[in-house]
Formats: sequence, C-alpha cells, structure tokens
Amino acid sequence: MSSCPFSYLWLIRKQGICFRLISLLLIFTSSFFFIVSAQEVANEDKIKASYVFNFIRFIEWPSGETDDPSQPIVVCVINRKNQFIKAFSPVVGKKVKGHLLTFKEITSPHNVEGCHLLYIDKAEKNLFSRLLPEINKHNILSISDSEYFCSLGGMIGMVTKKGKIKVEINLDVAKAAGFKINSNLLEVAKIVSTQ
Amino acid sequence: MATSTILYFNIQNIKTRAIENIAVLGNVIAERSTAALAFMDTSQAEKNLNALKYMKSIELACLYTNDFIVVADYKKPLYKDLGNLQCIEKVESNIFNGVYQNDQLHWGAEIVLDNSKIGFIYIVVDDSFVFEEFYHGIEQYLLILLAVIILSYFIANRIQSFVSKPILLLKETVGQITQDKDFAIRAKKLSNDEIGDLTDAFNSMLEHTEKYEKTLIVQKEQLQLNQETLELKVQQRTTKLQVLNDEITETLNQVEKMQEQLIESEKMASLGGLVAGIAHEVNTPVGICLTATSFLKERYEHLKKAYDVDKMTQNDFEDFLKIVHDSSDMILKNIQRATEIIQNFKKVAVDQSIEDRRCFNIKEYFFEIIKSLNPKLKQHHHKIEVNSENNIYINSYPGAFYQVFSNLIINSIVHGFENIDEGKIAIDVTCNENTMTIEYQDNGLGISPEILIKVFEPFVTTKRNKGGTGLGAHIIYNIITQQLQGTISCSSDLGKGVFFKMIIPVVFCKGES
Repeated sequence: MSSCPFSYLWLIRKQGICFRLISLLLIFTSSFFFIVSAQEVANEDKIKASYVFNFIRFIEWPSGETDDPSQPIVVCVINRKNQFIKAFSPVVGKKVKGHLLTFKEITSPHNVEGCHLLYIDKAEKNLFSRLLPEINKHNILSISDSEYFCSLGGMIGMVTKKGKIKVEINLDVAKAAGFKINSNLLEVAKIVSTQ
Repeated sequence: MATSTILYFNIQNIKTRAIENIAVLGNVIAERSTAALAFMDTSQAEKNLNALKYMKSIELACLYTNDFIVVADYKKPLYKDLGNLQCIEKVESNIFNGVYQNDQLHWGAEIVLDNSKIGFIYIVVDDSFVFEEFYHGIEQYLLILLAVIILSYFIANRIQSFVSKPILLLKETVGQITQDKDFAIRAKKLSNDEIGDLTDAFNSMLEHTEKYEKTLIVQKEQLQLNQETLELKVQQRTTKLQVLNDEITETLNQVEKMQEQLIESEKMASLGGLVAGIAHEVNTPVGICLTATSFLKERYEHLKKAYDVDKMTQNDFEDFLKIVHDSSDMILKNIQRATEIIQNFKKVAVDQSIEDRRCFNIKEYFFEIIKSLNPKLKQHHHKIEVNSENNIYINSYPGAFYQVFSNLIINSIVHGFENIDEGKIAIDVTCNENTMTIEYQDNGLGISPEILIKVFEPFVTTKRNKGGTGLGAHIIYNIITQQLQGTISCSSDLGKGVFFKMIIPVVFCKGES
C-alpha cells in the first residue's frame, strides 16, 4: 500500500488498482503532449494568417484595385504541401475596409489573375525568382513567411526569430507597385531592400 | 462666496481639461500602437508608451490586447521601484470618460483598427500635477498682485505727496483764515498745474472777500450811525408827541368842561325860553289890564271933571258905572289868567331849577309840560295826545321829565313839523312792576339814517345856523341814562316821523306829595 504514490486516497486500496491507474495516467499524458505539439504548429499558422489579415488593414492598394467596396478582396494562397488556407478560418466572412475577404488556394503560379494578395509559403521558395516579377506587375501584394522573401524582391515577409514572428517590408518594391503602407506598420516592421 | 464659486468652476474646468488632454494623448498613443498590437510588437508598444515619460503627471500607462493581455506598460520611474502601481486587470467602460479616484485620474479607451477593437489603453495621472499648473497660476497671480499693490502704494505715496501737498497748504491757509478772520492772508502757489489754478482762484476769491468785508464794515458803521441818529430822532419825536399829547389831553379836558358849560347854558337857555314864554303869556292879560285900567282912569277923570263943575248927568254916571263894571270884570279876568299862567310856570320852573324827587301824577305832569309850551304850540295847529292811565303816581325827578319831554316836543315842532301845520304827537305810557315804558312818536319828517346813528351825540344838529345847538337829544340821553337810570332808543323812517322808546325804572307812590 505504501509503495503506491496514491495510497493515501481512500478509494485506492489494492496494488493492482494502483498499477492500472498509473499506466492509464501515462497514456493520457503522452497523448496530451502529442495533441499540444500538433496544436502549436496550427497556432503559428493562425498567427501568420492573422498577420496577413492585419497587413490588409494597414496597406492601401494602388488606385482602382480596391475602390469598389462591393468587390471582395481576394486572398490567394500557394501552399501545395500544407493546407495553410485553413488557418484563415477565424477571419472568413470578416470585412476589411468594407470589403469581404475571399480566399482562394492556387496550385499553379501562373494562375494569379484576380488575386489582390498572394501568400506564398516558405516551402515554395523555389518559386520566388520566377513568380515575383510576375506578381509585382499585377499589383498583387506578396507575402511570405520565408526569411529571404523580401531580399529577393517580395513585399512583406514574416520571419520567425527567437520564437517571435517579425515583419519585414521591402518598401521599394511595395512603393513601386503603388502600395501605401501605414506608418504604424512601418514602425513595427524591418525595412529590407532587394539584394 | 464668489471666489469659492469661481474656484470651484475653475477646478472643474481644469479637471475636464486634464481629461481632454489625457484623452488626446492616449488616443494618439493608441493610434500609434495599432500596428504594434496587431503584430504583437511589444518593444514598439513599449517604445510608444515610453514617450509618456515627458509628462511628469503620468504615473502609469498600459496597453492591452483585445483579451486584456498586457502588451506593454509604462511606469513613472519612482513607482517602477515601489511596484505598488499595477495595470488593472480589465479596462471597464466607466473610465472611458476619465474618473478621479484616490488623487488620481484614471482614463482608458478602446484601440480600434479598421472599425474593429484590437485592444485597450489605460493611463493613470497624478492628480496633484493636474492642479499644479492651477496652483502655480494662483501663486503667480498672488505674487503679481502683491507686487502691483506694493508698486501702487509707492506710486500713490509719491503722487499723493505731489498732489496733496499744495492742497494741504491750501487747507492750512483756509484754517488760518478761519481762525484769524484775516482775509488779507494769501495761499502760496507751488505749481502751475490745476492745483496752481485752484490756488489762484482761491486767492482771487480771498481778494473779493476782503474787499467785500471792508465794504461790509463801512456799511455796518454807517448803519450803526444811522441807527443812533434814528434813535435820537425817535426820542425827539416821542418828546414832541408827549407834549402834543398833553396839550390834546388838556384841550380835551377843556372841551369836556366847555361841553358841560354848554349843557348848563343850554339848560339856562331853556329856562330863559321858559321865562320869555311866561313874559309873553303874562304880557297879554297884563296889557289888557293896563289898557282897561288906563281907560277906567281916563273915564274916571272925565267923570270927576264933570262932577266938579256939576255938569255930571245921570247918563254919564250910568255910563261910567257900566264902564267900571266892564273894566273891572276885564281886569279881574285877565289878572286871574295871568295868575294862572304864572302858577303853571312856577311849578315847572321850580321843578326845573330844583332837582328834587317828589311824588307826582305822570299824566297830569305831561299836561302841565304841554301847557308850559303853549306859546310855541299856539303858533300852529299841532295835536298832542297823552295815552296813560289816570292814577299813575311815581316818585321821581319831575324836572328831568320836563327837560326830556319839552325837548322832544320842541324838537318835533322845530324839526319834525317844519312846514307842517297840523302835526300829531302821541305819548303812550305803560307800566310794569318796576319800570315804566314811555313811547313818544310824531308823524313828522323823520330823521335821515346818517343823523339817526349819531342822534344822541352832542352837537348834532341840522340847524346849526338857525339857532340849534345840537345838544337837545344829548341832554335827553344823559338825563334818561344817568339821572333816571333808564334806556332810550330811537328809530325813524324819513317822511314817517320819529319813534323814541324809553324804559325807566321807577318807584310807584300813592299820591301827590
């Protein structure tokens, strides 16, 4: 009785019960850790998704692009490995500057027609050099979580450093494309130039 | 009261202003911190909040996410060490408009991005700093006030000595003039400003006053002199008047004396009239007697001559006898008449001269008076009626009655019946217990009103140049009022005669004495 760590509980009287209880506890905790780690990955995506959502709030599109409030802002996502688009679920149906947000998952980098914003996952970094000049021509706000994105000519990058997501902006590219970025955003962001 | 009200409103104003200020500041920081909150940039949020260090009054500021996770906070250095000031757990809407609590101003607001709430801001302000400026302002105000008071005191002092010195000098001069009553004193002029003008005006006034006073003194002296002269004159006049008054008094005495004498002489004159009347009355029978006697003597001598020569006839003697008879008869008759007349007058004359009381019959006495006036009455055909009881005897002064009624009758004849031949006089006598009322009236010309009012005054007459003395009625009045102690009144209408009413107190008696 004394060998059992829960022997003081009046319910647990026998060694057999104690063993079974401990093993059950172990199973529970291991499964809990597994769930937590899976959750963490999803959280990071969620934060990134909320960041993307916030970028829309701080940035103005070149004139003519988002003038009609009845037209939705179309967010396109290229992430062929991961279902990142699901991270946007909390902001689905929300309005930004009066526009409804619609999400579109694209698989082909050439199919960016009608997109206002393109999110390119860091896993797709090999597409950057090909895709970015194209995108910039079409006044599409380009966002990625790759740490080289901005220096490669992308507009906004989200770089994870010491567990924190930092914002980088390639102001030249954004300006050249006719985007206006809120100074508050610029204050929290690191300005990066194309190299 | 007013000050406290102003202070109260000032403090309220300051409180409101402090809330407004902090709201502006808080909203600026909130606005600036939107991106920091959106992208969870703690360091940027802290940087934003740190800007508040330039405001000493801010003790604490906190930035929260939508679910009240503190993203950044700012604490005033002093409180950072003490650690007794913490961000509140939840920002409630009650502090959105600012709340003063425990000497602190708590303010909070939502941070909004694109119409959606992304977080909160919370700021705590030290109350004392809020009012510091106000107190500082009051301090400065008081200091300035004090300085102004001190400055004005010095300036006023200077100005006062500048302004009041000449005025004080002027006042001193006025005081001296009042005390010494010397208008020759002049005020000293110190400056050429308005006060200098005032001094000049004052001096000019003094000059006028001095001149006026001198004139006044001269006039006063003259007045004094005039008064003295006047007094002397008055005294002289008074003395003269006194002398005159004495003279007048003496003259009046003389006049009174003369009046008395006149009255006496009038009485004598009336007596003389009586005597003349007697002489006239007696003259006729005596004349007849004389004629008869001388005729008798002549017939006697004629008869004796004839007798002496024996030529006397029987016829002559018989004639003589007849003549003697007739003559003696005539003489007797006339002598009798004369005696009767004298007897009558004697009675009246005695009564008139001796003013003794006696008992007499009033009606009979009236007839005697009338009889004594016969010579005068005879010339006309006037009628006199005496209406009285027969046996009224009174103990009184018959002479007085004679004087009164002879005068009344003569007046009626002379004045009332002037140019009237058949006048009528009525004397009515009525008796009471102790008085006798005699009413005398005629139907003559009457007395004019202007004469009537002074009818009893002496020397009133309408026949001054025709023998009237104007004393008759006065004598009547005197006798009735003084000797007989009665009253007399007169009334008359012009053309209707006169009416005299006499009320005389009398003592009745039983028979002639």
